[in-house]
Amino acid sequence: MSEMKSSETSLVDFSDSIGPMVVKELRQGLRTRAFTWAFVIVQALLLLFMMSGFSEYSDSRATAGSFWVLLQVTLLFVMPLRGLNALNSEVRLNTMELISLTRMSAWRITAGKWLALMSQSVLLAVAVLPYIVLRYFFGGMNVLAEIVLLFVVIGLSGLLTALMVGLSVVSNFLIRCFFTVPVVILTMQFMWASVDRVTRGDGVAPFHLGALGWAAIVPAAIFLGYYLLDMAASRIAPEAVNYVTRRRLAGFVAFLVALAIAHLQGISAYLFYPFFFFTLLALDALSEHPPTVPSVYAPFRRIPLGRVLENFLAPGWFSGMWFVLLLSVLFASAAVLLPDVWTNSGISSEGHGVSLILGFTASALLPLAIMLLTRPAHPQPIVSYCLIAIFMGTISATLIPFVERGEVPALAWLGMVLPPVSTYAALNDALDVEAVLLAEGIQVCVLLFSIAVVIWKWKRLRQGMKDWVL
Amino acid sequence: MNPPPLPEPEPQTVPAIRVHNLCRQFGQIRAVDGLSFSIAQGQVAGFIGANGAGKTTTMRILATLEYPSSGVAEIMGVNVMDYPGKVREVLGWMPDTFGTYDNMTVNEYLDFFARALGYKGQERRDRVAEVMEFTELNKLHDRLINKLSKGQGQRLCLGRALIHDPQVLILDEPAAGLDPKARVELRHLIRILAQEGKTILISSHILSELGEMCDTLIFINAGKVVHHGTAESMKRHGLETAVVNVTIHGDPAKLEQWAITSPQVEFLQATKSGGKIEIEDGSPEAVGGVLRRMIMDGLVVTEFRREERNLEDAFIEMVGKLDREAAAK
Repeated sequence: MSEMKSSETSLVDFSDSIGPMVVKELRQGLRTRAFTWAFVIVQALLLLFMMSGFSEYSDSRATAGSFWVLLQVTLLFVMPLRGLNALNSEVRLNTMELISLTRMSAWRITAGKWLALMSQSVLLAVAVLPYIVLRYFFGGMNVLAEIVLLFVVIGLSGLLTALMVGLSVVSNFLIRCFFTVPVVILTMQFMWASVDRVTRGDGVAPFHLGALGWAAIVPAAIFLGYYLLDMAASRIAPEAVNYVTRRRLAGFVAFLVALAIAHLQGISAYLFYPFFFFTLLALDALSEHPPTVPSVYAPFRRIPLGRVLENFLAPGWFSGMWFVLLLSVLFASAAVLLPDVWTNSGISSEGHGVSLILGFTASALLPLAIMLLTRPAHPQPIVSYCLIAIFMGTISATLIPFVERGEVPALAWLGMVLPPVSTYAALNDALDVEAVLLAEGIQVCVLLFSIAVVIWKWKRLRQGMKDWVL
Repeated sequence: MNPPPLPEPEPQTVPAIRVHNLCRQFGQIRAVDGLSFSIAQGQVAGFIGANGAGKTTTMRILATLEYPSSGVAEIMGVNVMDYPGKVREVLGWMPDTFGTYDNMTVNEYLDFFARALGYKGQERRDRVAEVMEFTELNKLHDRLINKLSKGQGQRLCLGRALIHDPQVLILDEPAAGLDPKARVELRHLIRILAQEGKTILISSHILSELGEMCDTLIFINAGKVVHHGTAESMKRHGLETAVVNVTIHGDPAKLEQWAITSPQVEFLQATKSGGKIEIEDGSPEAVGGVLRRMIMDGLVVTEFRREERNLEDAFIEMVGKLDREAAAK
């Protein structure tokens, strides 16, 4: 009797070993219509597909296609998109502050949200396993390939959910769309490609990445998932809590590893990774207000070289700028020291590589300078930063054809103040040397202007809080 | 990356809440402007002021939800900016509006916060049960919280703030929007908490209730303390004269005749057995002196009752005076 009671208690207390946020989110999530309808519809349709599979006229490929489309729509679209409301809903309902007064850190809140959504996705995925086994008995399928695909879909679902949970701290609809729409398009491409391969019985394709490919993609995806969740956590955390230093260090290591792999392997396609990490780190570092709480800066003052480290690793856009410049210098150094990978990628010289990186850096810093001049106190600086960057990118995309054709020289040269335009001009071998030099000169001027604005704004901010913060 | 080691405060002598020269600036607006006050352990303090006076901002700073532009705020001797985690262990916060979750019952709501505060197993269940019993939510155990009435919701919110049995409670407008019955229930709960020795800082626009519940009242205006003291002292704040109702034995006209011949006393109004007089100097000594003179002059005084403003009147007069002073500047 007592043994039974003890086992009952341990069953009741099992949930203590799971995070409070996961328990809460699962309690709520499993009751939502989105989950219950998704579950019921998936089960009903799969049952229907299986029953049609018994028919002598049935086509096993069509059954497989329907099965995977249904599953992937659920796991890659329906479930991750629910994450878009994860943190924003807590802020909107005034519950985030109440949670932040408990012992739960912002990271545990964010990770709990992600884990709860993933648990529901895994539950959906596990519930379809019997149908995979059933289809095996019908024949015409490669069990191993489909199980590998299931794991890939679950992994991708995790990454997409992390992205959506990360985006859920941003309230601006346009910014959400800007990040979500391309991801949805890419995911749809993945879905059609994978369904196509599976229905053709092509084994685990399109995942013939080789050991190095998997070794590059899996850790990169895990890191990206962590980074996105941490970015979100940092933006809901109290000002006194510093997540930034740890995240920047992790990002710095990831950037260095990506840079080293690209240059040491000499595979130009791998240059995508350092560029991707550079963009992600720059977006993050340049779109956070510096905290005005002494305890954030105090730890830097207690260690040797702390003041130097503070300039790169303390939270906020000022240290963010120096951090981005450090990444740029490292990137440019690699382009000069190991030029092969750049020439393989079609960029004609290491000088062009440096120019490209310079343009990237200026493109990252100019929106910050404009933001500080126009909307310095916006509560969500990432929104201001992204809106300015999107606007700048759109204008640049419009002007680049003019630069290329040289039809309206005045407009083209005016557009040169936009780093993407001047970078395009600097890399364009069709332009004469003077034009390229001018474009590079403008790039440098824009970069220096942006740096000057950030330093000026920082000094003014510092003046206001020096008595008690710094 | 932790702040410096936490200094050990003197447990008994430190005020439960101490605010010194606190400022909070939002752009060009100074919501809190050099605010200073302290509340001893075990006291119930009312926080009053007009809308926009800086009450909620101050309370949010004390609750570690907002950062001051300058100054010091401490809870049980611990700085709220440097050690927010430590402060949260001893602090219960009840905001003026509390969010509800969809698809969550009363029990699940409290259970979630108990888990989030680190309670596990039987201890967690006991804490939730204790809080539900205290706030009389047992019968609503399985009700979805978005189906609760405003009063039930406020009790649930108070229950959530009490889960970790905090020493200090900060309640921002807990009675706002409640019907009289729910207000009485909430006041009853707050009284019990005060009897248990908890320090409570409570803001409300229902000043008569605050006057009854609180040991001390802190009146702020434009981010500054205007008055800090008991409800009685607030009622008398700024009063230079005293109006007294006097009842005498015998001919009531005697009182008027006495008042005409007495310096610093003005007869205002006759009543059936006496009248209402105004004394120029409203200090207790001067008022006592007038009573003494009446008796010495042969009036048989059967009642001598000083008229007092209620808290609302005092508040409105004080705010009006401050507005006039600000306009004159």
